[in-house]
Amino acid sequence: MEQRPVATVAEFRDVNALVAAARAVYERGYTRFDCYTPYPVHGLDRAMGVRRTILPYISFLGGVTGLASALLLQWWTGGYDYRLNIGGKPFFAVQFSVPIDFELTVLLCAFFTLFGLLGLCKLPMWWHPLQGDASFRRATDDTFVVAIFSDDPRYTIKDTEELLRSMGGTNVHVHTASADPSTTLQSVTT
Amino acid sequence: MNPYRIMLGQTPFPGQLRRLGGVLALVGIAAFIVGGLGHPQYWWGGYLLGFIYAMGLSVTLVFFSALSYLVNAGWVAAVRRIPEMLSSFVLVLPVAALPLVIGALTGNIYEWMHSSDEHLHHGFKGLYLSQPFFWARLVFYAVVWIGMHRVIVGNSLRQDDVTDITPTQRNWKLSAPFVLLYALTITFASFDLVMTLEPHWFSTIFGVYSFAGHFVASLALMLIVMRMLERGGYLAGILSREHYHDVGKLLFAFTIFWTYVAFSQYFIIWYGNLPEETVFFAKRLSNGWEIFGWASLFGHFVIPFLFLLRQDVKRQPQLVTIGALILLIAHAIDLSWVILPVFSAAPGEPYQLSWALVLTGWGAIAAMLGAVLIVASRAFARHSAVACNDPYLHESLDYHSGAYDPV
Repeated sequence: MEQRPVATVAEFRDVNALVAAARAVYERGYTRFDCYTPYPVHGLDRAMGVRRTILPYISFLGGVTGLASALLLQWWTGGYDYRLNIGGKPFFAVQFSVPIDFELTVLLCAFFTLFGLLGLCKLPMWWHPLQGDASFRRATDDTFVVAIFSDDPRYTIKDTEELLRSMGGTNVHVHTASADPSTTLQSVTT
Repeated sequence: MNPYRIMLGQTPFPGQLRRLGGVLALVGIAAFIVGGLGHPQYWWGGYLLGFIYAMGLSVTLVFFSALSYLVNAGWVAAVRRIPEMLSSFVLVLPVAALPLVIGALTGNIYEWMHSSDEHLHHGFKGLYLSQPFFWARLVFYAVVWIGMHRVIVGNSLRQDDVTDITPTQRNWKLSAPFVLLYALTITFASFDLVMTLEPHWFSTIFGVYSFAGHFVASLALMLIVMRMLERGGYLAGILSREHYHDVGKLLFAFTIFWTYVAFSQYFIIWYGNLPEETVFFAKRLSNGWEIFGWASLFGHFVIPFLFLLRQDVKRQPQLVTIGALILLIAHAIDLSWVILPVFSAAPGEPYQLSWALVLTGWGAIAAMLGAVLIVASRAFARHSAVACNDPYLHESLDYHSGAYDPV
């Protein structure tokens, strides 16, 4: 089966070198790249030029949806569609709707936040194009990894590799995968 | 020489704070006097309002310091001195309370003191609402609060001059009992000084409601003074967006907490619908006072909630200070709504909104706030504006919450 390049991968032994490399890759104008580290690295997102997430807007939308549906639910059922006189209480009043308003606002806000987060992170992700790469595996242990994906508009095998090498990357290599992800993955060291 | 020992005595800052306090005090006193002309009970009610505002604020500022010791908060070390300085008014509370003592003893403030109503003089209520016990409680509160200020703020200041951390260690231990004592005293002080204005009415959540308001107001005042210091360039390299963000987060959270508690009180009473309980709200949601109820709902919740919701607003010093100003005013509206109606009518008459009474009360609040700033300016003139030897100072200076700032 035909192998196509997925990404150029470089290893870094030192967290400062990783942050500097991430910055350099960002400043070269690359947009499709990522860093993999054994532990969270402070300031890495900023160095990579990661923009603020839109998740809060999704959460807010969830909260508004929850509030609106709580009000509508209580008014429709109790005050309009099936009126029951309970101890002479009003059929609908904003006062007694507040606990449900609050709960549904919080509930839908939490749902939108959780599922919005999973969606933005593309989770659950059953397969990742880099997962057969030896460097990528070491990123869970003792190595910092930068990968620039081949679908980046600025990606060329030669320039990208030079950039990563110039930033101190070791074991710089192109990771390839077959067009069909179900077949065995291979790593080709250049 | 410790580079973080920021002595402001030789800078214009204490003078600025004193002038601001002086202007507030003068304008406030003028409004207070004019508002009460022809209605002497307006003066007593207005003074009580101003006193509660300043008392709650300043005692809660000491609590904030104690709380940050109790929970070992690292981020707060760079700004903790600001609430500590602003809380100096605690030390003059007994003096500020003297007019209230006179008003109470002459029968102008607390109805129960001269009421012949049998219900108020029987059983536990009779014991609780007896003058000796009442005054003993007030003295106890004053002793606890002044003691808390002396110990917590005192140890914080002592830490400035020594290299070992024994004063801070003492505060770590002593903050626990003081936070507990604060919780009890601020609760019972709100019962004694505010809830007894209507001695037949009761609400067990009233203390929490009062605390929530005081805490919001003290965080708001703290933010405003942080901003004043920053604008003067006195805390360059020390204050960062992270500190505004954290105080802003607390401000936002406790705005919601206030709403939660205020609504809990209202909701239980609304649903129970018992006349002895609903009277509090019925009287405050009619004859004009409902304006203050609605203004509390919007000014203390809806507007600041939506305004402070965004992260970047809490991280913008100018914007978060606007939020703080809104809440400082909203706290005045909230307390006015609770306290002033009682003084708006002769005993037994229905409450009636009176703008002259509101002017008197807000004059007293402005004057008391002015006094808080004047007393604080003296503390700022004497002590470092940063807790320069605090073991957490460097953690606080280097603190990053990881929040996103546009580059």
